[in-house]
Amino acid sequence: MATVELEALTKIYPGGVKAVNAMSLSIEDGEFVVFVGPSGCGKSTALRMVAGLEEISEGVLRIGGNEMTKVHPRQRDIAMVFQNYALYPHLTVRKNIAYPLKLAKVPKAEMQERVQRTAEILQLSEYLDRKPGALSGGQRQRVAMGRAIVREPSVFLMDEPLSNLDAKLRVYMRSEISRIQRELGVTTIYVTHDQVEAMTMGDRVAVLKGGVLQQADEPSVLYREPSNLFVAGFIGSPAMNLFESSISIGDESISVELGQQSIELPLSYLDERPALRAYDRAPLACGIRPDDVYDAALAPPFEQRVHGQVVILEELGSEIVAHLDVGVTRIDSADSASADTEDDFDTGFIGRFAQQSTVGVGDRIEVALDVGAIHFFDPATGKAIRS
Amino acid sequence: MTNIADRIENLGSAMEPSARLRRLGIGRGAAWLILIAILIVSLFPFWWALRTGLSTNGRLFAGDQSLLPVGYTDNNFERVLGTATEAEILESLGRENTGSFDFLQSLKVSVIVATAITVGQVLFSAMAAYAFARLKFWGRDKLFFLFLSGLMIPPIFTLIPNLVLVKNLGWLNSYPGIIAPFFFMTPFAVFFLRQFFLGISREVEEAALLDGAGHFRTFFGIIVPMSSAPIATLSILTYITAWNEFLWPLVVARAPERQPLTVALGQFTAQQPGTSPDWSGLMAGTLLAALPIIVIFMIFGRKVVDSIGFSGIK
Repeated sequence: MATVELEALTKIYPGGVKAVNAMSLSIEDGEFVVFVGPSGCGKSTALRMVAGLEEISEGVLRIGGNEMTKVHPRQRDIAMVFQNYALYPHLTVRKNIAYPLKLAKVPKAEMQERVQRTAEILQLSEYLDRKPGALSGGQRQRVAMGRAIVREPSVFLMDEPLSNLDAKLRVYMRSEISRIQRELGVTTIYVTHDQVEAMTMGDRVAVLKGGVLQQADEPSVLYREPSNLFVAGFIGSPAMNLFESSISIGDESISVELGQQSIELPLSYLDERPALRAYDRAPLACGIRPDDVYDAALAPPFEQRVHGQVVILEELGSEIVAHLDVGVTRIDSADSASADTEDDFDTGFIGRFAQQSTVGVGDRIEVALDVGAIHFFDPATGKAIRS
Repeated sequence: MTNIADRIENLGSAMEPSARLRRLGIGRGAAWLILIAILIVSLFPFWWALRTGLSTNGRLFAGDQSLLPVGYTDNNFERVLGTATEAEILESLGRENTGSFDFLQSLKVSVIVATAITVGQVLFSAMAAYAFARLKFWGRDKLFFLFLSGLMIPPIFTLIPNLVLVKNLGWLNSYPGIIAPFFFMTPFAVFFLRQFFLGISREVEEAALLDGAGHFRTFFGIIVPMSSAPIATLSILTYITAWNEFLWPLVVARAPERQPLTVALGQFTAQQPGTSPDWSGLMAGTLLAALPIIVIFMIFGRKVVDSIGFSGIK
């Protein structure tokens, strides 16, 4: 078990492409940190630099307080689980798990005992004499985990280990990995592009974009207090409603423009976000999560309302996701993955209504907004306007 | 218009199952006929060799063109193996034995030469292929393509330089002399294995690296076992090529005790004054010399075909 410190870690490929740009992060002993971001954001490269599979161009890496920047991978006391499992197809499950111990010249009796114990943790005991080809995807994944666990390393590194599994198995393995990590208490860095995986598994989640670390925080903090437009748009499904806006600070309230409509915020809002004063009558970006948009017909305890027309309805059983046209101008949060799935109309607004809602497609409805949960961002820098 | 539309619509269903079966049956029948024809063309030389090997020379020279052995005798095989008596030789050959050789000694030479070449070539080619596929070094790809261009040099071009080299090394009439030019690697073998190694997931090697394996252990412990099929294929192809090699051993191994079967069989074609070549002896010897390779191919043939098909090298 060990701490992992990334100090301005940078990866520059030949040709000058910066895959990871001055990434700094301090990971506590036993912590489960998830690197998340869209494809090509540098999350896997960052992980591979920690593993020693990619040379570190600039910056310093410390594991357990010792500098590891230029140390050979096998001397870093880390174990890695790969996306495609990377099992040795010609060896049985037993030999696959025992392989790192064999190389470390662990005595045979101890090796057998550790393999047996690992197999029990992973419920693999009955498959020990099978070859990987005779196992299902989930079982192979567990063997790959076993090979990492058996070494009792200081740090686990996992590179999208669940992406080849079907949805149901993924949910199961998600909880299994979390359980095993808690049981063993080993510092873990986990890479995924799936934000649900990131939010449910990580003690902390580090969001990356274009090789730059955007924010590293507990999942709930990331959700409630995104530090910039990208994080706001990336975390949460459906994504946060982000649109162009402006505010006018009056004597009694703050008026927030939503297209042709407006809502009022109490002046006390400025006490929490004094920096907002500088944006009086200036353009800014405004965001509100679909969870904070309510069907006014269900009489939610929020006074501020806007009107909109229902364009699409997604009935999920437990809730209804309503795509509304409220006449705002949407902002692209620069998350290409979510941009593909967004509505093709750019005046939209998404609300997550309770199942009792009776709205229908084409209806002009009134929605209530929880203005306490509204976010403001600087349109030029994308940074959240808070203090 | 409707008629045409109906006819087009009915086109798919027009062919009744029985008609479809009939068509399939005709196609299948034609395919079988072609296959049988190819089989006959391929196997006929073997049959002709066997038929000649089981015939007496005297009857052959009489011009008997029968498809079956003429004047059936198994003396030719005994003659080649050196177990025939003088009387038997006289009976099958019609004269004294002038073109005999020590079959077992030549078989031993062939086995030693083919085995050494196969072991050396596969080992070194595999290591070179791995280096070209995976190791990072300056000019790797350029070097590989330069190496690959060796495929375009006809082997005959290197015959004389190699002969001079082997002669200067004092290796004429010796195993090292026969084996040396083929021992290390051939561009084909390197290319063949490199293609397979490129197809192996990099993650497996990275996993081995993190598990604590160095390049040598990764290569011999992970890559080679994972590539057992192509390595077996290459071994078989190399063994067959080495077994069939004729020109090089002919020029470097003049001494009978160092001649592999391919060269030694030439004894039968040596024409004596007033006599004709010993065709039946030559065919019997050829069949016996090909026997080990036929057995190897019968055992591993499927693996070779699968492996070559898989690699895209045909």
